[in-house]
Amino acid sequence: MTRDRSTGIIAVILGAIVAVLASQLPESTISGDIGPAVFPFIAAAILLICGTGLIIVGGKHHDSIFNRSSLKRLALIFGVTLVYCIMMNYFGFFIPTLAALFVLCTMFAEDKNVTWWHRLLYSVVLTLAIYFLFKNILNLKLPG
Amino acid sequence: MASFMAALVNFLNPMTLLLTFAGCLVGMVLGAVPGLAGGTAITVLLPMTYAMDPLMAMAMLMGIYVGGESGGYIGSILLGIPGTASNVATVYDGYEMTKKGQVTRALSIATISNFMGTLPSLLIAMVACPVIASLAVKMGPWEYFSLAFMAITLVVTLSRGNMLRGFIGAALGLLLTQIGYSPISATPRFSFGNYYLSGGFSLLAVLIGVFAGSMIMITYANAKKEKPVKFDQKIEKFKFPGQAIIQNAVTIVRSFFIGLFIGFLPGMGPSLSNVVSYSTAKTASKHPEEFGTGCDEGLFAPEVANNASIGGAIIPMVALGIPGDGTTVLLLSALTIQGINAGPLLQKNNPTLVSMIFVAGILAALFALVIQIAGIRLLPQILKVPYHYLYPAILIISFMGVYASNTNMFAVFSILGFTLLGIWLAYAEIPITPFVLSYVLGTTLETNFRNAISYAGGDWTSFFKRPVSCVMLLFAIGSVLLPLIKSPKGRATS
Repeated sequence: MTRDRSTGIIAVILGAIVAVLASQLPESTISGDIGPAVFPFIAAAILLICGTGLIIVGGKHHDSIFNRSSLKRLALIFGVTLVYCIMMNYFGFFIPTLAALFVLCTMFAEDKNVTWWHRLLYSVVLTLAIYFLFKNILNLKLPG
Repeated sequence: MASFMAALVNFLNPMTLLLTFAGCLVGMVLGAVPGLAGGTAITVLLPMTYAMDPLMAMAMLMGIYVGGESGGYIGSILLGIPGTASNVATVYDGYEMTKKGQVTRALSIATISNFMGTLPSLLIAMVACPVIASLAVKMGPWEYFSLAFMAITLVVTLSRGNMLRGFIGAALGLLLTQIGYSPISATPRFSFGNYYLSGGFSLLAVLIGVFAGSMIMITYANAKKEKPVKFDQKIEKFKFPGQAIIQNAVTIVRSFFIGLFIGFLPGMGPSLSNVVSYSTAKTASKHPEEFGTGCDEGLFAPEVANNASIGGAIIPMVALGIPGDGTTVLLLSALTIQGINAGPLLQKNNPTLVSMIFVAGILAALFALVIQIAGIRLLPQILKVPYHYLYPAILIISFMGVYASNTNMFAVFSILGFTLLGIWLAYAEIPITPFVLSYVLGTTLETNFRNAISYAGGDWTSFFKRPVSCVMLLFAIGSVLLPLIKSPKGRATS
């Protein structure tokens, strides 16, 4: 299946779901107002029409921006970021940020000769710099 | 004039000056690095502006904007890899000059071209904005709806790729604005009883996920495919290309107006103007055969045009509240974060802020000029920026920024969702600008549509009964139909 066709199918399914949900929205209580369902219906209609159009037109087979190897790498970096967010939820700012920076730095520096203590030093300095910037200069909250 | 002076006085505060300079420098570095852009810096720093004074925030963001547009040529000229889409045409002659050993000349011409594009365009914008805004305040909800509709439609039809995919992107952006309480009737929509969804998704989470998160993850995923390109030529001192300017005066002026006009068109900007200006210069040239071989004209044309688009893009943003390009979408979001309503009343309600946008832009253009002249020999160093330190920093600072401005983990987790959305948009080749523009303008679109119908007593044809609204709608409809007539399959590509 071409990429355009699969995009079209996703758009049609999403459009149908939105249309069903929009049909369950109540009428507006304000006199003369067309109501809150009109715009969701418009968005759904665009998705349905354009999705159907993509399915019909079909498109050609193109090289994807991802191959099997890059998909694995994508899953890896997404997984690391997800774990970072979960850890941050439980352990706050410092330890998860330090760990995430070290891991991400290691991942991005894979084919470069960056020693582990350089990466660690960078992670510690940046974690402290972010903390100082957010807490002391901008007076913003950080997790934990 | 008083507001202009008030904005100038703000620069007596060394912090404002420092933020503009730092913004310009950061924008220039990220604009030069292929794959990143000045817009990335704005996205990452947007959440921090939440805690800043609006004038300082705008000064910094304008510094990044101008710096980003001014730094894009570095990668194009030195490596033959454009730093941003705004500098694609710069490669054609800029890199050829480098290959011929004229790298200093190429850098000097590009530096001066940037300044010749940015400064006059900002001055024109400064004069044009009050005039357009004074006309725009007379518009009713019919005209506002039609204007926003035309902006989104033009972006879809003029942006890269298939029009159907563009409309899907716009529909997704629109759909996202439907989550939470609806405007006018305050009806809860698609929040499924979730407290965090009742106010809709965080604007910052959407922008950071779709722009920064997806960009960094895609870069990591595809890192092994790219081969590093090295630059090893010697760069001399900056040489003012006075004679070249005189010889190419017509090209410079023409490119300037092309850039200004394309920048003014909603959603368009330097990514289109540099290519259009280059091809126009080639067509109009007495020596078109010299294009692509390293000629001055081929370098002036894209570099003047892409920077002239800055002023062009700022006009609709300031005067109408409609972003002129992807970066002005982010600038407009900065105003939203500060609780400032963009639109024709912006100038009336926040005159100092509007003047600040222009003054900071002009100052940033001067900073960029000085940095690039004085530091011409250091420009290749920018391209050696360590990615393995830069990308993790961007990712983590973005996440912290979203947490800090929302103070809940839901917003942080939603970045991951929007990162996935951004990755899917890239995979499906759905252009991002229609999505973002539609997301930013969605509420304006709906509020004005519903108000207009309500004021007209339920008359749906009222949009065509008001001349300005009618013209804009016909223009929007025409922009969709014209490519369909030309190409029955609807494969309108620019």
